[in-house]
Amino acid sequence: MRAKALLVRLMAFALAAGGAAPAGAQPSDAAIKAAFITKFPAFVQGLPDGAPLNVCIVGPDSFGSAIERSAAVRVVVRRLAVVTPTSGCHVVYATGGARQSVRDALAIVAGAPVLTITDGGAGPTRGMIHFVVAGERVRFHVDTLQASRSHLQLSSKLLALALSVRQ
Amino acid sequence: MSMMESEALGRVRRTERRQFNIVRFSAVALLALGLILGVLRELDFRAQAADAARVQADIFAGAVSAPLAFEDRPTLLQNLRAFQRDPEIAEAIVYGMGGEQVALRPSSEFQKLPLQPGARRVQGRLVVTRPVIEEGVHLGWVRLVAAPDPLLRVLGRYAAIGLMTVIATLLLWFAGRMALRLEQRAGQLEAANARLQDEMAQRARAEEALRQSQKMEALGQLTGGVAHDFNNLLTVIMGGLETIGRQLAKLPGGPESARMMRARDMALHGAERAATLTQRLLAFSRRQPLQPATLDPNKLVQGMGDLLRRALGETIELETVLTGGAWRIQADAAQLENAILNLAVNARDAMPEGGRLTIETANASLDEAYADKVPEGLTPGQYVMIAVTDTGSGMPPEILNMVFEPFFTTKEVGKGTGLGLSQVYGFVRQSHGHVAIYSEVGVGTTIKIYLPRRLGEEALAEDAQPINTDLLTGDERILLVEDHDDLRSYSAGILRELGYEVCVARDGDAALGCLDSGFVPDLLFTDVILPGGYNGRQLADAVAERKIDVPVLFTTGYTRNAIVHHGRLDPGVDLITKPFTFEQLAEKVRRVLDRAAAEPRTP
Repeated sequence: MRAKALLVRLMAFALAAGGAAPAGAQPSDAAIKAAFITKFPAFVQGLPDGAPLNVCIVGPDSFGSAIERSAAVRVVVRRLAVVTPTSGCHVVYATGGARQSVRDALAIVAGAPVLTITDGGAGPTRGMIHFVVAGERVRFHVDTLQASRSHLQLSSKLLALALSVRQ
Repeated sequence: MSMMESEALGRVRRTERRQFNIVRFSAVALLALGLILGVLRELDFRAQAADAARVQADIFAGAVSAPLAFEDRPTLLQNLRAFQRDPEIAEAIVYGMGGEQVALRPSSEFQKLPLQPGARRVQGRLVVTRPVIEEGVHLGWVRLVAAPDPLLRVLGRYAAIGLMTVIATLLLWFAGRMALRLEQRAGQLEAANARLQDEMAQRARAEEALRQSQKMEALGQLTGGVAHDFNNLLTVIMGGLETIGRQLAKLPGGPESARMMRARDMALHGAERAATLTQRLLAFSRRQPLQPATLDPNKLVQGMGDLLRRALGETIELETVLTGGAWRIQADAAQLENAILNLAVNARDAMPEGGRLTIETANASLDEAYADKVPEGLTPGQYVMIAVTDTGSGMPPEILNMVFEPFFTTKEVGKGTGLGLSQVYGFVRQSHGHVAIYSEVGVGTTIKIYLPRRLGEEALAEDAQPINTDLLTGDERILLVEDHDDLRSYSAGILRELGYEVCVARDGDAALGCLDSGFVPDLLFTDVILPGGYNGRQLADAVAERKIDVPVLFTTGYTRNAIVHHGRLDPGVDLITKPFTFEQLAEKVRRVLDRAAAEPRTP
């Protein structure tokens, strides 16, 4: 199992390196998360059609250009201090800034077809998808309750990978 | 008939060939159909297999999309393992978005293939490559490599087609063999048919020949019987006329007696002509008694020169081509001369404007092949040919067959008797010879007489010494046996007039009665055919048994086998043929008596 060993080494390197890795090096957690963010919409039904995918980062941004680099689709990353219902975001990644907490940001877009993603590293408040690092791997929790309130359906394939599913 | 049959045969063969072609065509069509069906079936099977593999790959792609997207390797491997259990799939490979290989079941030679969506066959294996897409987002690739088909399944798939091919091939082979056999049988049939046709034609020819010879035989019997009766009558008539002449000569001359003499001469001449005709009829019927002698044919022909020139007239040139060293023949000289004369007369009549008559002699060997073609039969051997050729009008082939029949004539009514060639034919056949005729209209006719060669060295027949007619009388005793009353009294009259003592009898018993009454004859003069228990021959034997050594003179109009064997007289037998004249009988009787006196017979 050469590939498996490779992957293990790959991840170990990513953990050790940290931050934005240069192109060709082992991806960091941030790079992995960045790649994940653009892939989640593929497993979500109910998001408005249309390209490019608008990804709004509400709060401090640790990705830099990683999202654009690793995007599986054409993506526009907007970095907002405050999200509003009219911000036109497909995906909101809330890290909780000084002007708008994670909870506030989630509350603003609640009920609108916006996929909300939070990060365990930024606080306990969870969006529809909540990143954690478990067993040296980037994993996520899934909250279908929030999603269904926003008229979004998360794919069962996504649920199958989740650490936990809140229904 | 044979044309129609061979046509029918040809039709049958054509039908057979057509039927065989249908079978052959069917077999080829079956073979082609089998191949086409096989190919279609294989294509269909491959398409289905590809479709199935594509569906499998799509399911696989769906199953691995999330683990691939979110790099959840354990889940990915778990899903991979689920597909591993499918025996139809040999390899499953997952590629990332950039085409990098993420996971695979055993290392594979198929992993390096370019990533193009679709199913294709590589080294006989089905390789399906599908993109992994979720909601239009391309996440990577999956590739499935189908397991090679198990042998049994491959066999199952091709068994029907293979069977069909084998059957079609067998059918072709069988049909070919059958056609060959049919062809052979048709050939045999055709050969047999040809053989049959040949045999039929041969048989028809033989039957025709038999009919011809039977016709000749029947005609011979008829004419022979008539001629026999005529001869008796003619003998009496001519005898009467001669007696009249002799009596007239004794009368003093005068115009009446001269007129009566002329009338008698005319009547006698007519009777003689009638006698000639009956001779010819007998000759044709081969019942005239022949007196064959050993002859030199060249000498005979040369001796006829004057006679022939007179018969041919001045407009016809006579040419004789006589071979040196001609063999001797055994024949009746008078009849042979008669035959040659007949031919010459016919030739003359065929050349009214004049021409040339060629008489040719040659030695000839007739072989078996030639003899077989003579329908009446001919013994192969050595013959002397006497050919008479004219430059006359010739005859068409259709009448050549009929020219030997009695009363057949090409001459105008009243000009010919139709018996000339019949005499030739009868005489030659009776002499164990053969007549061939060749004729071409406008060119001429050749008639060839073949007479058997006489082997042996006996002397040529001497010309009989003329007998002085004054010395024809005698006083010997003659036993005369004749059943015909008029003829008997005529003959007895002649003999008595000549001075002989005659005892007359009408049959054998009466003749023996003469002997019993003490009459000792110096000559037995008997008809060959007699009523009652004896014929002439038996009578002669009966006389000899009584120790009476006496020469025998036979007379006959025609004869069966009593004294003539195979148409020839036994040696040492004397014969006078009816009708005979006074002089002929007188001369013959005197000659026999004189010879008997000169060479006394041993008891």
